[in-house]
Amino acid sequence: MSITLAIVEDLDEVRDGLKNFISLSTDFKILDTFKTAEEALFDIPKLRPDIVIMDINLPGMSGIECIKLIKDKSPDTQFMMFTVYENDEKVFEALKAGASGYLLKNTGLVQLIESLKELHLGGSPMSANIARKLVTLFRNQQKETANVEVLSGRENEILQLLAKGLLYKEIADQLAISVSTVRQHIHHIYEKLHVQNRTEAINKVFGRN
Amino acid sequence: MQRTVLILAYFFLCAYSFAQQYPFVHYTPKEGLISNMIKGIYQDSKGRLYFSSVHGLSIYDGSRFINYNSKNGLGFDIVNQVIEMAPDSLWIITNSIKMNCIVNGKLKLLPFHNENHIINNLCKDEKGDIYAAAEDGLLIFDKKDSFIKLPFVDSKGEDVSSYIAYTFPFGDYLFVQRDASLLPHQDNVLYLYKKATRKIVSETPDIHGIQMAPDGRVWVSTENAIMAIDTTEIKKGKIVLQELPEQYAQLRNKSRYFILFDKSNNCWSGDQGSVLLKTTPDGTTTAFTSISGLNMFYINSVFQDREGITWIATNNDGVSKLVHNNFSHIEKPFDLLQPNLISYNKNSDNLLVYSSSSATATIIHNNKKESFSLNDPRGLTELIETPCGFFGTKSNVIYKLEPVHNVLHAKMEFPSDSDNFYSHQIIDKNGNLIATGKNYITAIINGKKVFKTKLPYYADFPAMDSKGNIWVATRANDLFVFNTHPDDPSNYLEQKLYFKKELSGISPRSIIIDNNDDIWIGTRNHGINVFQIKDEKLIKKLTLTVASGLSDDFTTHLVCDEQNNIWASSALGLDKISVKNGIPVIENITKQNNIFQSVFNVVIDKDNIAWGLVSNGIIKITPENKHASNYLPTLMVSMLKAGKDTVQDGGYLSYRQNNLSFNFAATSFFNEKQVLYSYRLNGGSNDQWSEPSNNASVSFINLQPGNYNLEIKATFPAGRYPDQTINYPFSISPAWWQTWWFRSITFLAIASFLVWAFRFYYRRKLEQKLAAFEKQQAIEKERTRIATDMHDDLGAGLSRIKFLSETIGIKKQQHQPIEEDVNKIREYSHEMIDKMGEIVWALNEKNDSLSDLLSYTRAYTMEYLSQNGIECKTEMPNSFPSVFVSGEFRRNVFLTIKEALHNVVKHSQATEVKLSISINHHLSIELKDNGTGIDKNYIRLFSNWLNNMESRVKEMGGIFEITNRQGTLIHLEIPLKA
Repeated sequence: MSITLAIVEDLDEVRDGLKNFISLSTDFKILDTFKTAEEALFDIPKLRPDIVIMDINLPGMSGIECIKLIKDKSPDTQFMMFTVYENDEKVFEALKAGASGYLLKNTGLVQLIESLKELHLGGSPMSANIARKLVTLFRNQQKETANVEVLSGRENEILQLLAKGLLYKEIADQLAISVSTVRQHIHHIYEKLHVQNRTEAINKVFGRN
Repeated sequence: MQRTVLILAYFFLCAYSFAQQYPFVHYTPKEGLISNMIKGIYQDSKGRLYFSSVHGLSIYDGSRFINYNSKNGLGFDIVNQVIEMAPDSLWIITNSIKMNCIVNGKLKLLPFHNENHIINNLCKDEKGDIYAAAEDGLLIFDKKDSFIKLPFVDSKGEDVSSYIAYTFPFGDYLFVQRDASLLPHQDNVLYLYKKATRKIVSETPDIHGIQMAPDGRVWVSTENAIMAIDTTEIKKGKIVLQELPEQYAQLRNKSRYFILFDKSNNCWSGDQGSVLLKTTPDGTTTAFTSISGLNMFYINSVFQDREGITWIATNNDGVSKLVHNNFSHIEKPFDLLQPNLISYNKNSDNLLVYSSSSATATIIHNNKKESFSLNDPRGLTELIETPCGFFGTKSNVIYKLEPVHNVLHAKMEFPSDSDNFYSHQIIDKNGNLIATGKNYITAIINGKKVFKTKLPYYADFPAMDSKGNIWVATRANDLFVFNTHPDDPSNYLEQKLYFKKELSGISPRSIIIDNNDDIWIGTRNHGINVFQIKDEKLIKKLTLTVASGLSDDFTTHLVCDEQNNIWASSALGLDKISVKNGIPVIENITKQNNIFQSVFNVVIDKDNIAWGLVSNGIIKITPENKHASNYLPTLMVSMLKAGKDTVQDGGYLSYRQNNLSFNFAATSFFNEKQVLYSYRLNGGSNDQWSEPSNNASVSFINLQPGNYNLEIKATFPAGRYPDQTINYPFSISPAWWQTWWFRSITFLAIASFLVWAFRFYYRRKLEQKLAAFEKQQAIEKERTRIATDMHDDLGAGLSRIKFLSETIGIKKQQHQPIEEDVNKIREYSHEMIDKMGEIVWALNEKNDSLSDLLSYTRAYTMEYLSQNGIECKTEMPNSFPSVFVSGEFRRNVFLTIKEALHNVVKHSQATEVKLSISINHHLSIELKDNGTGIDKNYIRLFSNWLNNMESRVKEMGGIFEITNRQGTLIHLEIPLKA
C-alpha cells in the first residue's frame, strides 16, 4: 500500500527533482505532475491521490484557489503546501482553504519523505506564527457565533504553547505526550479550521451571517 | 390827648404819590421770540400763545418758542390774525392772498380759492358766520372754500368797500372800520352794517378806535375823548355816542387814546408814549409808565390770558408779561428815603414807616400820610405805635415818644439793666408793649410800669397766640409760654410752659403763632420748624427747608396774615407759606417777581396787604383776587425728533428712528421756568420717574425696537395747579434683520454652517488619518512588494538550484550525466544575480527619476537583444522632463519591457527590434519587432505573461496594446504624475 501523490509545481527543475526523488521511495506512487493549477483542477478529483504537493505561487491560478476548488471534490485528498517561507501569509490562507500541512522548499529530501508520511498518518506541522494566527481566529469566531466547531482543551493548550514559540518536542515533553500526538492534534485543528472556513463560506452563501 | 394831636396833623392824598415798580417780564428775540414787532396775541384752547408779528409767527408753549415765517411754510411774513376754528385747528391769516392753518401742530397752506383777498381781520358771530375785513371789501366765508364779497355802500350811495381794516359783530350788526391812512378823506368813519340786509345802516366820522368789552360795553376813542356807544341804540340800527359813566370820569378827557379791553373787562388805554392806564370795571385805574418797569413804546395789543396774566405787545420791544400786578416795589415810599423800620398798629390801622437816615417817621392811614420828625437824631432800632402811644427802642433803653407839631419827643425813659439789649416788641392783647432782648423779657404796662423777668439767653421776638399768651424762643433753644396778668402788674408775665429738648439744636431766630395756634419757629440754618401743643406737650408737625422750596434756611422774621398764610422773611427774600390739606405750599414772592433782595420785616394791614421792608424801599403785595377760572394748563409733547428730523406723526417709528428727543411743555405762564418736569419710559431699561427738573426735554438713545409709553409729569410752582400727567405711547418697529423670521433663518444658517464646518473639520481629520493610513499602507505595500519580488524572483531560482543540486546528487549515485544540470545551475545563478540587480535598482532611492528609468531600460534592451543576436534601434527624446517616479512605477515599466523583450527573443524569431520612447504628459513606449507576429491561437500559451504585462500597466493607470503589424507592436501609454 503505497501513498499516492500528485505534484503541482511550475518550475521544471523542482518538479522533476521532486518526482525523481520521491520515485526512489517505494512507499509513494506519483500519479501525475502538473505545471499549472488549471491543469490540476480537472485531473486531481479524478485521480484522488492521497496527498497533493501544491506550490502556492503558480502562473495564473494560485495553489490556494486550486485547493478551494478541489477540496470538496476530492475530500480524502490531503494537501501539502510547498513553499519557500513558512511564515508567509499565503501559507495560512492555504491552511484555511483546506491544506493540512506545508513543506518548505529547503527541506531536505529525506525529511520531505518523512513529512509526507507523517501527514498521511494524520500529523501536521505548524509554526509559532501560524499558531498565533489560529489562536486569534478561533477566539474571535467563538465570540461571534455559538455553533462554531470549538477547539478541545488539549488542542487549545497545544495551540497556546505553539504560539509562544515552543518546539513540538518541548510541547510533547511538557504535556507528557509524543511528538506525533502533537502533530495529530494540530491536524485536527487544521480540519476544524477548514470546517470552520467552509461553514463561514456556507453562511456567506445563505446569508446567515 | 395824643389822638387829637394826630387828627390835627397834616393829611394829604397819597394816590400816585410814589412810583411803583411792577415785575414785568420781557420777551424779545433774545428769549426766542420771532421779532420785536409784535402785533397781536392769541391763546388757543390748549393754552399756547400765538404772537403775530410783521416777521412771522411765534408760538409759545411755556417751554420754547416755535417760530414760522415765509421760509418755513408761512404764506407771508406779516401775520394779521390767528384764530382757532376748531380745537387744535387754527387759521393763520397773513397779509397776502395765502392763508395758513396749523392742524395738530402741523403748518399747512389752506387750499382756498382766495382769489385776491388780503384779509386784515376775521370775526365770527354768534351764528358761526365768519366775516372778514379785507383790502378789497367786506367778505363772508361760504363755509366751504371761498370768501364772498358783500355789498358795502354808504349813505351817499358810494361803494366804500376798499381797505376795510377791522370788523366785529354786535347782534344783527357788524361794526366796520376802514384804514383811514390809505384813504383820501381821512375822516375815520365808523360803519354799522346790518348783516340781514347787507346794508350800512349808520355811520359816524372821527372814530379812531372802537372796542367791545366782554361784558358788552362798546367804547370808542374820538378826537377829544373816550366815549361809549349806546348799546340799546345799536339794536335800533343807530350809532349814538355818549359820555362815559361817572366811575370812568378820569378817562373822559383822553384824546385820541387807543383803547383795548381784556378778558376781565379791564380797559387798557394809552397815548402811545407816556402812560398805559388800566381801568377795572369799577373804575379803579392803575397807571403804568416807564418808571413802572414797562417799556413805553408803541403798544399794539394788550392781552389777558386765561390764567389772568397780562401780555403787552409792543411795536419795538417784544412782549411784556405782567404776572402779578398785585406786587409792586416802591423805592421811595411816602417820600421816605431808605426806610429801615416798619410797623403796624392794628387798633388804629396805622402803618408806620421810619427812616433813621432822615429821622422821619410816616404814618399811613386810609391812603393818607402824616409825617413826624424825631427830635432826637440818635437812631432808634425800633419804633412802634401802641394804644398807649409811641415807643422807641435803642440799646437797653425804651423811650416813650409823644408827638408835638409833627415832632416826636422822647418823654419817658425805661432803662433796663446794662446787660440787656432790646430786640423786638409786640403789642399784647391788653395793648401793652412786650419787648424781648438779651437776658430779659420786658412788659411796659399801660405805658408806665415796667415788668421784667429773666431769660436764659437772647430772644429775638415775642409772639402772641389766640388766647393772648406770650411765646418766646431763645437762641439757646428755650421756649417759654407766659400768661399775662393785667390785674397784677407786679406779676404781669407768668411762666406757663417751658420746653427745651424739643428745640434742641435748631437755634431759633423768629417765632409766630398762626391762627390755629401752631407754633412756627424760624431758625438759623435749620429751616422753619412747625410745632403744635397737645396736652401741654410740644409736638413737631413740619420742617420746611430750602429742599421744600424755602428761599433760605435762615428765617429772620415770621408773620401770619388773616388767611393764615405765613410770610417768612430771610436774607434771600420773602416766602409765603400756605398749608393746604396739611401740605405746605411755598411761594417765593420776591424771586418770582424778579426781586432778589433781603427782606427784613413784613407787616400785614387790615386789608391783608403785606408790606415788606427791603434795603432800598418797600415791597407791597396786595391780596390776589383768585380767579374762579377753571383753567388747567395742558401738558403736551410739543416736538418729537428722531435724530435731526422732526417726526410729524408720532406713534409708529421705524428702527432707524431710535434716537429720540422729546420736547414737552405745560401751558402755564405764571412762572413757566419753574415748572418741574419728570418722565419715565415704560418699556425701556429704566422705568423709574426721573428727578424733577425744569428741563422740558428728554432724549433717548439707541432704543431697541418694541412698544414704549413715555409718561410725563409736570409740577407747577406754588402748587398753583394739580400735577399734570400725560402718556405718549409709541412703538419702534424692528428692522428686517431684527424680525423673528430673519433671526430664525440666521440661526439656521449659522447652525448649518457650524454643522458643515464640524463635518468638514472631521472629514479633514479623517482624510488626514486616511492619508496617513494610506501612506502606512503604501509602505506596507512596498514592503510586501519587495518581499514578493524576492520570493518570486529569487525564491524560484534558488528552489531550482536547490533541486538541481539534489538531482545532481541522485544522478551521481545512479551514475548519470550531470553536466546539463550543472550548466543550468550556472545559468540560474546568473539570472538571479541580474534579478538581484534589478530589485536593488528598483529599490534604490537615487534612481527615482524618469530619465534613470528610461536610460536603464534602454541599456537593458540594447544589451539583452545584442546578447541574443537581435539588432536593436532606439528612438528617444533628447531630454527628459525632471519627473520623479516611484520605485513601483520603475519596476512595473521595466519589467513590462523586460517581459516583452523576453517574449521577442523567445518566440518572435525577429532579427530587428525598434524601441521608441516619447514623453507628452504620458510616457509612451513602443516596442516593434519584425518577427512572426502574434498568433491569436498561440496567444493562449502566453496569456500568463500577457496578463502580467497588462495588469502591470493597468496598475499604473495606463493602456497596454499588442497588435500584429509585420511583426509585433507593443504599445504602452502610462500617465505621468507631475
